[in-house]
Amino acid sequence: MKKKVLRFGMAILCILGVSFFAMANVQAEVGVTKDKILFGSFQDMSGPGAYLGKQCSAALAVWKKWVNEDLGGIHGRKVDFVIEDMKYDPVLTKTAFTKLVHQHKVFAIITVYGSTPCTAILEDIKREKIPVFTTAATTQNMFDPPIRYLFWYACSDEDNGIMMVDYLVNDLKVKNPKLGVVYQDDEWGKSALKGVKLGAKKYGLKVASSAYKRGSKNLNAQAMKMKAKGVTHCFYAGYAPVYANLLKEANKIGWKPVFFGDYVTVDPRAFMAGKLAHGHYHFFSLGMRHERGPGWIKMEKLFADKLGEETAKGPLGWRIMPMMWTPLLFLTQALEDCGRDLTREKLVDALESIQDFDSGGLGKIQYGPNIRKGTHYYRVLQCDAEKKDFFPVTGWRQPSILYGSKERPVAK
Amino acid sequence: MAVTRFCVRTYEQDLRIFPSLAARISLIIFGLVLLGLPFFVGKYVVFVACVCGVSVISALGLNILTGYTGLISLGHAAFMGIGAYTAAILSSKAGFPFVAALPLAGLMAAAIGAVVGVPTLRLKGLYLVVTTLAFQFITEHVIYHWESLTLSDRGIILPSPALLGYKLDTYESFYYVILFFAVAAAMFTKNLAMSRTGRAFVAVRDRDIAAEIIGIHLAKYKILAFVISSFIAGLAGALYAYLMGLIGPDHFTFNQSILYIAMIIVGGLGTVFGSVIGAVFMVLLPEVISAVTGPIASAYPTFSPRVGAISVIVYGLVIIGFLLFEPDGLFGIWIKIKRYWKPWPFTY
Repeated sequence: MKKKVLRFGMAILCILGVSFFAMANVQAEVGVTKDKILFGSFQDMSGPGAYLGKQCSAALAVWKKWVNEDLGGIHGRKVDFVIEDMKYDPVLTKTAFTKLVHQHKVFAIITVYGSTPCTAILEDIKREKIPVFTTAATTQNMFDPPIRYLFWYACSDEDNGIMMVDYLVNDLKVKNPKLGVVYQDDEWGKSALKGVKLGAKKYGLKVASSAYKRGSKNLNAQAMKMKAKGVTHCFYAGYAPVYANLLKEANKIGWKPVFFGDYVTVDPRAFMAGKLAHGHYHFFSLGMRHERGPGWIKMEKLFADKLGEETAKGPLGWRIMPMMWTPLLFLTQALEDCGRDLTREKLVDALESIQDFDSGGLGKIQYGPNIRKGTHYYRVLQCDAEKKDFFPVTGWRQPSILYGSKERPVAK
Repeated sequence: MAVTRFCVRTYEQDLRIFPSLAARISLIIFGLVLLGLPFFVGKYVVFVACVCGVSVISALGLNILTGYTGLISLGHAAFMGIGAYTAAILSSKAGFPFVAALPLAGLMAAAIGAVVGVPTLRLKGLYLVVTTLAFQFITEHVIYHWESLTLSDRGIILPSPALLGYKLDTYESFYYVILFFAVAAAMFTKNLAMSRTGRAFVAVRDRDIAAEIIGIHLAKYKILAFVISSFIAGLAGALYAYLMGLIGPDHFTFNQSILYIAMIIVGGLGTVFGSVIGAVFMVLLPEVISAVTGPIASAYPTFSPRVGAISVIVYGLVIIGFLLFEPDGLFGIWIKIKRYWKPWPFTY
């Protein structure tokens, strides 16, 4: 009798044990229920980058509406998201990250930006193994060395700097150019200087440089210095209004170099310099609105429906909108590729495996095994001050130098 | 017989840190709640509690300097930064263990505090404020531009702290370390305030010339206040660095210094209780605002910047409100509540 009871007890235990493990196996991933996928995002809603926070929040709202209403969800699940305010502060970013992961229990973090906030959570991303897709921070540590769960999509000033020298030497065929770099004195500007120096080293050229403080509005001293050094081709890394000021100051002192603005200068505010902006070059990784790619037309319509025609066609649409929207399209594709059995690991694999993604002319985006840098291709644009627009003068191309702390694989 | 601070009969009773039985019992209950906190709340709350703890330690340090000694400093975040970077560099580059890096971080900040304290011998009031402000900006500049040492914007990653072979790599485990130091800092400050040194600090604050006349060595006590304050700030900075796991130049900005000043003003200048409650209040206030505005921002993302602006306005209004209506801060409110209930059920 005792043996029978023992056997019965053992059988019950085995059934319970097997059921437990089976339940554990079919249990959905964190943030994924049978009818919803919950994403998280931290945005600067009240700090110095609040203008970006507004645009990213808008992009997320448009994406949610598009996926849930136009696509009918992803494999029967609607998408939803939670936004936390990080005020562009590292501590608040870490707090927001912890809250999103442990309190809201989101599946992934999407559409974030900022070198300082994102750097503050690098180690947490590794530890929590939560996909962050994408960050638009400027620092190289976002993609090099690659972190499995962190995907970067922005423009790189190192790339822009290298491409400037490539373009000068190989396309414009300038003999003995005197290179200069005027840059904002932070990691963003320093990466531009690094890029130009890398390019200059390759072609045996020298570089003069002049930094300015973040927040400076007048670059008279920098222009004087560059003129004194006899700079003929000057790379500029910083915001468009300051770039416009540099053009004006250069004109005032009779310094007439060819300027190369980084991707941030592809901004209507560059035309604050009027005709002085005409003919100078810029580097850009996104499609242009005037090219009227199908992706652009669709994106404009979606944003106009949500935010109004004026906002969608204003400065928001110039650079930020495609920069945020293209990764969201890419993410949608990856989520669909994962199938119904969605996990974080599967999503990372899916993001890695998408090749030749068609964004409809918004811009190229591609990752791969161990590749977390989503931007590889750029075009050189030339500014037309009369039409107040930028026009490509080259096809899509990559910088000629692969930089980084270790050998990084590149997308084909 | 249990007594309160309002009806002490002997010096011995007056010198007790917790004079009444009720205070001691409340403290024991509060201590038990703090000890049990990680078992009842999620990781997020534990992390916020850790940030509160570090802020309490740092605010206590600033209160010694500003609240007790009357030397206003706008460079407190810089001292924290020095402590944080010392711990980060020692642990990540030189392989120092947590137990060694922590006191060295405090000592480094204290040494620099002694140097910064020297101008206080000739400066006070707004002139001292400007001096400490300059120190704040110099420190920020050095952290940012001494790239070979601080790695500038990239930040320094710290190894997980370990104590007696036990890795403190979770917020829950590190919470107890922070709690220990917060309690130790509070006890130390309370004792210091009641000691000869503390009373000398107060004398310097209230009237330095009179203090000198009665035999207080102004130079010694002013510099000592800087040294003690910066040591505690350095310690808080090191704990903060280990908590964050990675530190960068933007962690120790002028805004942070202002925040610590706000903590001790809102809490109540020159009181330990005020520093503790002020720090907790200022850390939790954005969290409370975010708990209200967060769902609104998520539901209506296009309004999120306005929601964010409202949260900043509320934050500012709370501070202005304290300055206008309760200059003694939260400590003042606490005392008023205690006085109101003391004769209860009688009206007076």
